[in-house]
Amino acid sequence: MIRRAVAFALLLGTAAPGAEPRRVGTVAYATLRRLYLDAGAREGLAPGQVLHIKGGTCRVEEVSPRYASCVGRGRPGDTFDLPLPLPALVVRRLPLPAPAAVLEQRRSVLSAAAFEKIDYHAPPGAPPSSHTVEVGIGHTSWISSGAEPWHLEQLDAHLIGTPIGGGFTLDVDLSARRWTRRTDPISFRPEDPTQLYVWEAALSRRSVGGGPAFSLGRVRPWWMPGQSILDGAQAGWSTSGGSQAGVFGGVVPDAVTLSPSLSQGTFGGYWSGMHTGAADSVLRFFRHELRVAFVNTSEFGRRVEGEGLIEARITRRIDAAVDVRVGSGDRQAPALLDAVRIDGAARPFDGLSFNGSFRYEGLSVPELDGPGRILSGGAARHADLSMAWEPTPRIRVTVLSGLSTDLVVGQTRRWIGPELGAPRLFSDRVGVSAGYVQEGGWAPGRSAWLQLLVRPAMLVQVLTRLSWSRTRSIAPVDLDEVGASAAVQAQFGPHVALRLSALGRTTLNGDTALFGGASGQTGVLNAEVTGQF
Amino acid sequence: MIGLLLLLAVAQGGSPRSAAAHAGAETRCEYCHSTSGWSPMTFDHSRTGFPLEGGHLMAGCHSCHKSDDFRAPVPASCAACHKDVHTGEFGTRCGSCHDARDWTSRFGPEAHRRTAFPLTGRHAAIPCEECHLNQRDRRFTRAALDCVACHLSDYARTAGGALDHARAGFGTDCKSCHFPSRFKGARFQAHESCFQISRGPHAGIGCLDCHSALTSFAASGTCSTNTADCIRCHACSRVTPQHSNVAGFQCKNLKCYECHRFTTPTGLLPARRVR
Repeated sequence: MIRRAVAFALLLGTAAPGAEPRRVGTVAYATLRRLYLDAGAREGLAPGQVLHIKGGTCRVEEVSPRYASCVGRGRPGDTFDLPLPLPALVVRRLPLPAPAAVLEQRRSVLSAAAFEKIDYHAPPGAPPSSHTVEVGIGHTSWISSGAEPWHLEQLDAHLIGTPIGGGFTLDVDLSARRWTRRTDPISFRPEDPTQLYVWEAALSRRSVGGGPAFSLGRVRPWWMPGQSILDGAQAGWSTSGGSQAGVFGGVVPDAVTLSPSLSQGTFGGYWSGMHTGAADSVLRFFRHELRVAFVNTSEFGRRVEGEGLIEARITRRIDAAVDVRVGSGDRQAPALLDAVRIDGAARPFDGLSFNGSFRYEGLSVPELDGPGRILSGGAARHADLSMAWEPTPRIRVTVLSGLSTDLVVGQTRRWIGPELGAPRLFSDRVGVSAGYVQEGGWAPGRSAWLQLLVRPAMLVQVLTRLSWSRTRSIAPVDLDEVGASAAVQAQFGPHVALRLSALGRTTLNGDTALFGGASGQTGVLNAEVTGQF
Repeated sequence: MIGLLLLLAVAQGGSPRSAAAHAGAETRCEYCHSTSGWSPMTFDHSRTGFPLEGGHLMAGCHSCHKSDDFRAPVPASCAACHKDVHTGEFGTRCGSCHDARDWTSRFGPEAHRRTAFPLTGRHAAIPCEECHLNQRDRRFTRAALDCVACHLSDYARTAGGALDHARAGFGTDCKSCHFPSRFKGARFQAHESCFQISRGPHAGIGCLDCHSALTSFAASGTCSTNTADCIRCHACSRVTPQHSNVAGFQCKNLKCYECHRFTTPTGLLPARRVR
């Protein structure tokens, strides 16, 4: 719109061509970043030229015969010197064209000639590498009134598919953490202020077209549902169609420290297949995976496990996934059913979608609690369902609902509530949502929130959120809390990203407690810088 | 086994792949290239139904398109490109906690309300690992609904202190007295109904300032612990003259409590108000 107006204004303001070459040009229109000039290529302007305008300079961006745009700052009416006129070109008269009959004869000869079509061929060699190297440093502080703050500094490194020669790639995922301050009570590794976690450090060799595929080292296995990391190897054979079968084996590291442990291990076999259909096919995506393994861990003892996963996208209306794990051995769940996970999404028509999931964890997951204490917990059942309706692309109405039951203590919480959002305002730069949830069960309550998401630039995002909640049965009185959070994510060029986040919450009541006030303020501050190469 | 793997790798060989870029593909060059030059090239990925956002903007084309034929379908499922570090615990819906713009989990204290355990008070500002200790599988399931599941060590730490919870007969349902913001403050509702201590003249007094012992302090629930030592502070020499007109007055611990409970503004039981 602005450009049209500018063009029209320029058209009206065009000076009649004169006999004398112009020496001065004028800014006809100005925006915050650009100037529109009443001179163009005929006056000798060319893209990239730097013009000196009153109070600064601008760089010529685009040029038409009579007009030009220039990146810089200025005001309408500002003048600038035009380049000196080039010396007049000597016009050389060309010979007359050949007669029409001759031209027609040439054309017919050309059109009848046979020639070989040429297609573009890439230089020989493997496709470009898709490896990623990401390194990040971060600092986090947890602050609570009535307690000393906790501080953590950490260094994270991720190498994905980094070529190291000979067709081998290196995958690394590790985190080094240093607690600069923690005060009792500490549940998680209280004696270890410095911690190193290596989730993956494996050499792999795989080829896109199929063939042998293996990984060696600390492996985070692909295509094996439910298989945790292991110090060993995964070896298989893959087809060009994406299917793969193989075996794996190794020792299993400690669950808390990830230190190598020779007293735990696993071995077994796996099968996986993946089919990706065309955009107009009914079955657009189908993934199926199977793992059968013998597992020996300190938590569960010796067991035989089997786990299968199926995921499918049917047209663009339905997504579904089912994962079932059974196990038998020293510890086993009722009916040998360790876990069932079902995910589903349906979009009966554009603008309306349903999302739901069901989780059943039948096998308790022992966790360490404090030095040397193991709790048997984790058996749980969870289900959620949400419906989202977008009457227009700018408005979204969502209903959230769900329930979660801890099968160890037999207690349930459930929730339901609406959320109203405008996710795409101002050309996707702003998103607003507000919601309310009513909660029931062993700790009933209610909560409400208001969220604002701003993307002032394509690679910058600011998320702010205000919330309030009331929870009953979790304290001697009903507990009212308000909170605010903000997170800034900025990408500086293709390699460097910064993330800052802050969370603050306060209790509104609880001051009538015995032996001092029981209300409190809590907060979390986090800053991370990440480099990706 | 390792030898076998290496043998397989060598057998596979590193023969260069003489691929023809876009082989068999349509040659509508202007979709990606311009007359300014063959590179850089641009492509409006949103036309494919998978708009590139966040981290996907930074990814190279071949991270997802494994072959040179960009017409070959690419799965939109997260699992096709990303390993599941949670070993399947959360199914296939990565978007519940992550998004392409910011892979850092957005599962904060508010999202935790949509579980069996709402994070309140200080629970909202502690590292996740303090409750979810499994780093290997990055699992988050556990039974933490019982306070004592995590705070048994805190309960045990009261042993030998001013208020030994075990000796006093306190149960392990911490939330009946304590607030989730801090352990230091507490409310003892059972005591309030017998003898008010949250406000009034007896607010802030330590247990053993009044009670001679803490045995069965809470378990009886009958307001009769037989351990309240009123006369320790309220000496008979001082209170006896003040009760000269109270019929049946005796300067004994249990007798004080028959009239004075401080649950009313006057501090006296309504039915026993002295006239």
